[in-house]
Amino acid sequence: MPGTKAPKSPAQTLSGAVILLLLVVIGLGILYKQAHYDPLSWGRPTPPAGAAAVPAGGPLDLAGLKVEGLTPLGPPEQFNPQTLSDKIDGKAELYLSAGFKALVTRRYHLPANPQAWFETYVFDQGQDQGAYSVFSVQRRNQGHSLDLGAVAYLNGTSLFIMRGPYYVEVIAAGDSPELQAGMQAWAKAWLATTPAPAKQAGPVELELFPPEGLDRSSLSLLAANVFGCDKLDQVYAGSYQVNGQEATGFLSRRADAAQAQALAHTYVEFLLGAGGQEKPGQGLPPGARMVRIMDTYELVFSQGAFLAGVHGAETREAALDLGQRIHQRLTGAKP
Amino acid sequence: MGIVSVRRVSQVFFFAWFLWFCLVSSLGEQYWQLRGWPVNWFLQLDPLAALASLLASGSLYSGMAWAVLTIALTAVLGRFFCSWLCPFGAMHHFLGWLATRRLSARQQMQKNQPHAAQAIKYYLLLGLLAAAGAQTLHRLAGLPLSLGGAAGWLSLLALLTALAALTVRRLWPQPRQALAAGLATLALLLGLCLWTSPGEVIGASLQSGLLDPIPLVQRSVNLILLPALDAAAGKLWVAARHYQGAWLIALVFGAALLLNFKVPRFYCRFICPLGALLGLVGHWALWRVGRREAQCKGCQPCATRCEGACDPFRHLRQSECVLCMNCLDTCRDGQMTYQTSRSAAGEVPLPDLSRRGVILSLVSGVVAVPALRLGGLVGPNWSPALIRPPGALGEEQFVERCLKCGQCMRVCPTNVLQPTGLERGLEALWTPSLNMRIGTSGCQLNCVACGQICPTAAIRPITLEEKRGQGAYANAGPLRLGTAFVDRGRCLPWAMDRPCIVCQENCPVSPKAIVTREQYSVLARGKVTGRQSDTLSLAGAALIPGRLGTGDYFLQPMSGDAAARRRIRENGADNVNLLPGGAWSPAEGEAVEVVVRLQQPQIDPSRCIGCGVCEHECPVSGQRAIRVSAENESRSPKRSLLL
Amino acid sequence: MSEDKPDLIAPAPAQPAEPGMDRRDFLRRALGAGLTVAAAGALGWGLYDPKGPSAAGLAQAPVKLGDYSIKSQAGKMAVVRASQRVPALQAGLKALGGLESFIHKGDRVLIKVNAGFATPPNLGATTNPELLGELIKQCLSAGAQRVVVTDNPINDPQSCFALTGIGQATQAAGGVLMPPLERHFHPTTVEGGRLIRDWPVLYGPFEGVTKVIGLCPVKDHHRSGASMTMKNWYGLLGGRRNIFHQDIHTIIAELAMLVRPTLVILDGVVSMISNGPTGGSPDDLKATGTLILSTDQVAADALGATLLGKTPADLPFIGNAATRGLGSSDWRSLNPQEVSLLDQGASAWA
Repeated sequence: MPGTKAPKSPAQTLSGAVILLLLVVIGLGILYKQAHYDPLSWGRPTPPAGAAAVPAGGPLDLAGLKVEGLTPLGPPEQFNPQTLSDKIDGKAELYLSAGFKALVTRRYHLPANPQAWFETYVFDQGQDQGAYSVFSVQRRNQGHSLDLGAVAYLNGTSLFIMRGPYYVEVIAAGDSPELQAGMQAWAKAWLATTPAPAKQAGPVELELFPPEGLDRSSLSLLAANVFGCDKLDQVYAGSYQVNGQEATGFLSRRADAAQAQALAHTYVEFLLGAGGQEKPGQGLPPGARMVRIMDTYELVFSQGAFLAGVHGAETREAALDLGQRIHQRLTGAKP
Repeated sequence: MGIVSVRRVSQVFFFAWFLWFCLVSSLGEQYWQLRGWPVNWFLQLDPLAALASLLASGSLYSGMAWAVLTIALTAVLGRFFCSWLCPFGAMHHFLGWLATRRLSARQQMQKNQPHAAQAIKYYLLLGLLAAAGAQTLHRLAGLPLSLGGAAGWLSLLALLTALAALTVRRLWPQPRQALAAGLATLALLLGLCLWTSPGEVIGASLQSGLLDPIPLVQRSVNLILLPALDAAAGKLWVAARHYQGAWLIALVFGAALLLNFKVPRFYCRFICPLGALLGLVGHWALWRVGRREAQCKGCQPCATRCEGACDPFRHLRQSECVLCMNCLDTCRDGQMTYQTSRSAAGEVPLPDLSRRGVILSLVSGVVAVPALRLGGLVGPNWSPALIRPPGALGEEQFVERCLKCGQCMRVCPTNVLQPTGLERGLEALWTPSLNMRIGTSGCQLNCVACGQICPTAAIRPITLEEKRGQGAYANAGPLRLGTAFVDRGRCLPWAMDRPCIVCQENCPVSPKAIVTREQYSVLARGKVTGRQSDTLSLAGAALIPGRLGTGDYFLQPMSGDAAARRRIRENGADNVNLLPGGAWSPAEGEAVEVVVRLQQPQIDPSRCIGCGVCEHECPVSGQRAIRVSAENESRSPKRSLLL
Repeated sequence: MSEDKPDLIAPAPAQPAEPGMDRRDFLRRALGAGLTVAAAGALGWGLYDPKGPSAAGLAQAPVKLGDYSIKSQAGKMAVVRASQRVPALQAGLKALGGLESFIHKGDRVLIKVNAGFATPPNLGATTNPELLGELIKQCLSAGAQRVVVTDNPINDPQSCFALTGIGQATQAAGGVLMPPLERHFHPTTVEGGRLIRDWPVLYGPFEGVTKVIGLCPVKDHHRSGASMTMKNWYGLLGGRRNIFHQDIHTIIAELAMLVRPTLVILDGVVSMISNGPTGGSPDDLKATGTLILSTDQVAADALGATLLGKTPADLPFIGNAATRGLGSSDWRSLNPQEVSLLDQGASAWA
């Protein structure tokens, strides 16, 4: 019945306009709502298969990593700083304090034998220093190093690699030669995807440790809560034999001299608060303080931007001897 | 722009949002994924879902409070929901138009005449509300005394009284008789409550979702339409989604839509219990459709496109009018209007409900729940195959809240969450349960999406911490859905001497809930007849070439000396090649055994959370050799398995 | 359709008679709509639940059984050597200073019997009905306002109460039989217990009760060694209680923690010495001629053990309970009142 309808009343037009406006408001409200949410409330969303958030072909792209002679056992798993403990539980703290960014893991087995399997863990520690820290702290003594063109060693059923900011563990379910060959094949394939950093040897701080009596394999970067002191972090430490006695030398580069000095003071206060007794005396390096705590000696000083000292020396003499030598290296190589 | 065009815009607007919400209900943070989209909004705006779940559970959960807005607007404006907002209504509206667009005006008018069957939806509504609310009487007998609770219950009482008064006035025209009937019923019920303990007999069951249009359309789109469309497109999911018993959902959905070709808006007019509720709520609506003057030309085009079949030409059926506003548009001389006074031609507030019918539907609703439970499926005869999702309430509280909307099954990332079929009773129909054989995995350790999306908290909104039993929940331990049981008659290493350890490997719990027991079984015996380095020729042992090379097979002396056992590298039909090493070197003529090392899985029930990953992965692909059943589920302390 | 069939209900007036009526109608509707909005709003506000049920909230509030023991009567015990139960009970109560020292006027008494099996009384698997009848009468004459008899048997309750004669004896003596109903069970937690945590107990019959008496026979028990007064409380547990058989000695000790009775009466006039706890043949019974009444359930069981030819040390639950400070495993230390109704030389016990 076109043409026979009554004309629209102004009230009708007005209501129509109000309703349309209301719809616009509702639409905007919905758009506002969708942008405000907490993804953690649904748990960790399972990433859709195939849609890897990691750069393809990079060190973290285990889905894209093809290794001859190995069969993957399930897709790669990915963890971020929030979810790391889901995978490695209480050990997560060690990685987090050393700048952990991401972990990708994947299991493989030998084609002939599903029981012969291993799992690879690729930790992205953000910086070389972070990788060095987790690598050095967990270094096992019995391993023999591998010639893979990177810092790598094999220890029974496990293989460890450090390259650039990446730290890799390959943990196997057995120690058969076939399995070890498979692990090394994987390691080679992975290293091929990972560019070698400009310097492979480790941080410059390591060169500042006086070489006499140093056990080089003990050198490590302690990321946080060093020697039980929660203010002390990013400390390089190495074990020494000083005249037949054990002592640990340590040093840490801070932002500037004032901070290094303040931290030295803080650490000494921490030692005193923990029951240590200050033992001043002759022969201390300039500005250094000696604390005796639980039958060992601690020597702490700052030199320029470095905090340095000796930890856990068995005798005062050992602490003094090592402390003097570290101090000399630092003054000689003042930045 | 005329009001009808505005209505069409509104329908398209809300329908599009509805589809969009269904589409984006996948976990993720892309704009086309869940993010913060209010995907439950339509369910939350649905006052029937809110009222029925409130009656059954005694609380109005979170977003369901939106329904108050719908009620308030309906009380003032009338049933705007049906023609302006309801996505199911929009579908019917469109299909009804499609079915009748070529008919003559006369035929259209006939299709849109009021029909006595329009009363059916009120009976359905009363029955469903009675099933949900019968227990409320019991609760009212022991009024909770907290301020908020009491106020809520008193207002509920007030609302029910108002609705009852309305109904009663229609049914007993004489006020004194109505009052007497009402008081007698109330006294009878209260007396029953005090004297007996109806809580033991009368249950609450939320069955409105079977017919409530919003859960119905949500469920249908989620579980039928999207999977069917995506099966071809493959955009939403990597693997095709399956939902068990989806045919029944499809049948109901399809029938509801196709019936538009019989009568436009068939579902809305005759079945929709939400429409009935809104019709009652809109009884006093301040604005209403009607005629300006008692007399008009009588040309009747107003009835050609009347969506509600509310007879605007004669006595307007106020409760049936869905405010489609078509009559305003089709009336030739501006007689039809939306105004504050009643239609000048007169009104009929409700369709013709019979007293007997009302009582029958109320009683049926009350009786239905205990009747449905006669089989004991909620009690002692609970089904161990009904694995509820993590955070699901105990079965009785669960059926008080579950709307059967399918949102949890839609959002479940692995598709393991499935609509329960009729085999677990009508009450459990289309409620969520896990089927480990469908989908890409079992219930994921790090996912609580179903509880977060559930609009009524039938699945509680648990956190990952609670699900995994960490932090504040460390004492309670992880939430268990059930326990896995190994079927030793089907399990390869138990029943068939075949090595397999798939379930143990896939167990996501740490430490693993599946442990293995090492067992060496003799496969063949023979005699060494020849020997060349580590290759032995065997007589008497018929071997399948190549079968023994997996590393699980060993050769050992007949004495069974475990220390002497040597691993087989490979084999032919009558020879084996041993891996080097080992203390024992079989001599020619020595009797030897070929043994297989089996790792037979066993469940540690104190660790098993019933996630079903093992069942999903079990290589016995038909009836799995390891299966989860509901024993030991956290939600029912009575079903615990252990001290 | 309505063309053919007139409306059954008269429509509202077609045309308002006067403008005022239209206004009144509008106001009435405004009131109705306003009330609806207000009711919906109040309902939403009152019953709004932003969080949903929590794990803690879902658990039923636990109940706790009271302590029904009388401090001044602690450590009392009477041992009656007799061959007839009823006179033995009378003598035993007298030796304890009469039931009046336990039951006062107006007390509501609960007697927990052992009605575990639907077997006839002569098989001795359940509390003897004559003994029960006499006890009820004694309670009532001591002034008890109401005497409730209850148990949650292993077999079907109705047949248990009927076939054991307990139901009839209760009614005949004027007691009230309370068979276990679903609604009677509420979860409870025994403080310091390990097993009874959030576990349903037969709480309903205890409501309003002021005194509790345990009355049961001495029986051999395959799993625990013996079923006596402490094991008798097992019949208060609901749920799938048989899982407690995995740790029977601890559960019995925890049951003694759960219930602190006014008095326990252990019927060893005839004991079931083999094939317990069901027995099934009179051959399993032996006349042991002893009725033990005590306020210390551990001591009662310790003495009861000897009737089965066992020592308290043979029954770990007795030691368990004693270490928990629930009573003494050395019954002699209580200096029991010993009464003998037997003729000299006709002693049924050694």
